[in-house]
Amino acid sequence: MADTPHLVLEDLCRGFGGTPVVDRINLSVARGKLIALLGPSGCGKTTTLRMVAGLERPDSGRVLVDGRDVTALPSYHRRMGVVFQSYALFPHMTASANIAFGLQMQGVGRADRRRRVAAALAMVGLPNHGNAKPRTLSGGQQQRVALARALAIEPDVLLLDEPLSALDAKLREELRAEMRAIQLRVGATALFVTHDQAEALAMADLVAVMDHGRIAQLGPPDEVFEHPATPFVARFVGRSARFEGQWDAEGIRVGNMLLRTGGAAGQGTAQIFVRPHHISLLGSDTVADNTFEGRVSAVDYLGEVAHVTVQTDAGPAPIEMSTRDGAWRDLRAGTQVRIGWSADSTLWFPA
Amino acid sequence: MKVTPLLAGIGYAFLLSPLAIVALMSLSDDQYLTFPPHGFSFRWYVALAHNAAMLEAARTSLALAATVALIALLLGVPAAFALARGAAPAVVAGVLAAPLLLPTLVIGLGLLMVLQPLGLVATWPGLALGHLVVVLPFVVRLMMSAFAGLPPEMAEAASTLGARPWRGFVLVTLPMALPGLIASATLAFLVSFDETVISLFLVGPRLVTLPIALFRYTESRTDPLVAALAVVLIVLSATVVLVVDRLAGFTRTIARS
Amino acid sequence: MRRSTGWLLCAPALAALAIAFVWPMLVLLRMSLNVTDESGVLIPAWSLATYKRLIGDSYNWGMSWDSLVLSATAATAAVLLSYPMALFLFRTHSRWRGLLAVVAVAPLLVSGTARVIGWLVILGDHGLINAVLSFFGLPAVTLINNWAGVRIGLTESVMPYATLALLAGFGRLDPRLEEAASTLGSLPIRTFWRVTLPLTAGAIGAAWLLAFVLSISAFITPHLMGGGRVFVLATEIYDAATQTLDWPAAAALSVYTLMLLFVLGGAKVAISRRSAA
Repeated sequence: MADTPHLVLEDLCRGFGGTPVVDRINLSVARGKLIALLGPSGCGKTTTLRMVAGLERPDSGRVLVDGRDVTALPSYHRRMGVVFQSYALFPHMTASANIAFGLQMQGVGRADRRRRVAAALAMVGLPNHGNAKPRTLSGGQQQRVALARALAIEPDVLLLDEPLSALDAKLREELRAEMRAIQLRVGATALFVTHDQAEALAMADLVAVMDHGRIAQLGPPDEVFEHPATPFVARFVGRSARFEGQWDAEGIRVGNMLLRTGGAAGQGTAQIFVRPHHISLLGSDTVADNTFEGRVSAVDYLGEVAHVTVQTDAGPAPIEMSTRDGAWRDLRAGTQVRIGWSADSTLWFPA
Repeated sequence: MKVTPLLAGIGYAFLLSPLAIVALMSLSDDQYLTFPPHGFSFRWYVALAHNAAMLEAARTSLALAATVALIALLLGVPAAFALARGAAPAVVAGVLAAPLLLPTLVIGLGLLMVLQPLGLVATWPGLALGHLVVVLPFVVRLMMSAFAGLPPEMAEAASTLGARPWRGFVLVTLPMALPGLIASATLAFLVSFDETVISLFLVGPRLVTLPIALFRYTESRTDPLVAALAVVLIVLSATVVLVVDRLAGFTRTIARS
Repeated sequence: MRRSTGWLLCAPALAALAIAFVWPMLVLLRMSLNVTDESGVLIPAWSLATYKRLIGDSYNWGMSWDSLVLSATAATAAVLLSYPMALFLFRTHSRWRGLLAVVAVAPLLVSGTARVIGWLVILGDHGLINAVLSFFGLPAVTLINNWAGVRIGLTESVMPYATLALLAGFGRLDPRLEEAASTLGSLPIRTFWRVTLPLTAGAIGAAWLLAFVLSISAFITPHLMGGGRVFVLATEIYDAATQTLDWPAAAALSVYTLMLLFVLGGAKVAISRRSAA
C-alpha cells in the first residue's frame, strides 16, 4: 500500500485550438506528500490541476487515484478538495454554510455536519467566524475558510491553485507555513500550483518545474535549486549570475578569464549560471576557483541581506551578502571589487 | 460658459413635461381636461376606483403580466444560462433578440393573421403568446448579463464539493443571480403590463387589457380620468425602474443597439 | 457545459419564438402575395398584384414620403434635444448623475398612451399652451389632431433612445481632449466645433438613425396625436388591417416598411463599424 503512489498522472495531454497547453505530463505522488507545480503563467500548470480536479477533460492520458482510473469521472464524483485562486467562496452563504456545503452534498447528517464544520473552522484558526459572510472576512480569513471547505469533505487529494497569490507578502509567508502544517497534520496528498518559487521551495516535498506544457524537472526543492536540469529551470528558480563562454582544454573561457567547473568537461559554447549566495566578495589576498573583477552597480538593502549587483566584463553578477557584519556599507556604486566562487557551484549547460 | 447644462435642462423639461402635466391634471376637479384646472380634488381617482370596465381591464393586465413574466423566465433563464456559458452559438442570442428589431405593429399584425384562423384572438393564450414575443428578448438579455457577471469558478467549486450540475445551479448559481432574476421578472412584468400595440390586434370585447382600455378611452374623449389612470401607470413604471436600477443598473439593462 | 446541453436549454425559448414570431412573419409575407377583389374579398394567390396596386397608387407615395419626412424631423429634433443631455450626463461628476441618467431614459418604459395624454393636455385646444397664449391676448393655435402634434409627441417618445445611443457612442470621447484644447487657448465654442462635435459625429449618426427607425415604426403617437387626420405607414397598416380589413394590403405595406427598416439598419451597422474603426 505504501508503495503504490496515491496520485498518478499518465501521459496527460490537453490542447486549446490546436496549441498544446499540457503536453504529456507524467507524475506520481506518494500518499501524504505535497507536490508543487511551479512555472510561469501559461506553462499549463493550472490546466493540469483542472484536469486532476475533473474540471477539464484531457485530450489523452489518464488520472489515477489509488490506482483507480478517474479520468472519466465528473468533478462532483472525484472528491478532490480544491482551493481556487479566487477562493470561490459562495457569497450568499456564511463561512459555516460554505464549509457544510460539501458535507451536505455527501448526505452527511445535520449533527455530524455541525461537528465537522466546527472542527474544520478550529483547524484553520477561525473557530468564531462561522456566521460571517465571506465579504466581511479579510483576504487571509477567506483563504482559511476556502481551505477548511476543501478539507472538510476529507478529500482524496487536495488541489491548491495559486491559493496565496491574492494575499500581501507578509500574510503569504505566514499562511504558507500554516497551510503546510495543516496539510502535514491531516496527511493529505496535495498538488499545489504556483508561479512563486519561494512558495514551492518552502512548502513542497517535490517540485515539478513546468515549461510549455512539459515537466522540465522533477525533484526535491534543494535539488531543483542547486542542480537545475535545464537552463530554463536555472533561470526560473532563483536568481543567478549568467555568463556565456567557450570550452577549451582547461575550462570555460569567458573573455580573457577562465572558469573551472566541477565534474566532467564539455566542448563548444556553454551557458554558465552561478547562484548569488555562492558568490563572495574577495579581499585582496583571498583566492577562489573562479574570480572576476568588476564594479558595484547597485546595492539593495533588504534587511537581513543586501543584494549587490556587480558589473563584470562578462555581464552583471548578483551577489547576496549578509548584513550582519556591516561590510555592505562600504560598497557604493562604482566601487571596484573582486568576486569569486567555487568550481562546484559553477553550473553550466551546452548552449 | 454653462451652455451644456442649460440646454440639457431644456431637453429634460421637454422630455418630462407630459409626465408632469399628467400628474397635475389627474388632480383636476373639472369635468374636462382644460388648463388651468379650476380646482383640485381626488374625484377622478375615486371615479377610477369605481370604473368597473377599467378595474376588470386592470385585473386582466395584472394576471396576464404575471403569467407572461413567469413563462418568459421559465423559457428565457435556461437559454440565457447556456448562452452566457458559451454552450450555444452566439447566433442564438441574435435570434432571441430579433423581435426587438421589428416594429411591434408588424409583429401584432402577423400574430393576428396566425391567431385569427385558429380562434385564438381575444383569448388568454393568444395575448400571452403575443406579449411573450417582446418580453422574452428582454429576459434573455438581462439574464445573460446576470449569468455572465458571475465568476465561473463558483459553479466549479460547487462541483468539486460534490454538487451535480443541477444542484450546483440551484444552490449556487441561481441564488447568486437573484438580483438579475428579480430585475428580469420586474421588467418582464412591466413590459407586458404596458404592452399596447401588439395587444391592439389581439384583444376583443370579452378580453381587454388596461393599456388598451386607456387607448380606446383616449381615442374617444379626454377627461381627467385618463390622467389619473396614466399616473397609476407612471407610478408603476417608476417603481419598476427603481427596482431594476437597484438590482441590475437601469441604463445598462435597457440599452438597445 | 456541452453543446448538446446548451441547445437543449435554448430549445424552449427558440421554439416559443418560432411559434410566436417567425411563423407570424412568414404568414405575413405569404399574406402579402394574396389579392383582394373589388368587393374586398380575400382571394388566395401567389401574385404581386397587391404590391402593384399599392405602387400604382400615388396616394401611397405621398403617404410614404410624409412618413419619412415626419420621421426625419422627429429624429433630428430628438437628437438636438438629447445631445446636450447626453453630453451633460457624460461629463458631469455630480452625485446625481446616476439618477439623472435614469430619468433621461426611464420615460421609454412609461406607457406611450400616458405620455400622449400629457401632450394632449399641453397642446390641446384648451391646453397649457393655449391658456398661456390667451393670457397674453394672443390668438389660439391648433397643435393636436395635426402634423404639428405628431411631430412633437414623436420627438419626445424617441428621445430616451437617442440619449442612450449618444451615451453609448460617447464612450470614445475622452474628456481630456476637450481639456487639452481649452488649455491650448481654444474658446469653448471653438472646442465644441473643432473637437467635441467631430469626435461624436459617429454617435450622432447612430442616434439619429435609431430615432428615425423608431419613428417610422411608431404607431400610438401618430394615431392618437393625429386624431385620424395624419396618415403615415404605421397608421395605414393599422387601418388596412382593422378598418378596411384588406389584409394583403396591410401585409404588403408591412413588408415595404420592413424593407425600409432593413436598409436603414444596414446603414446604422455601417456607421457604427466606421466609428468603431
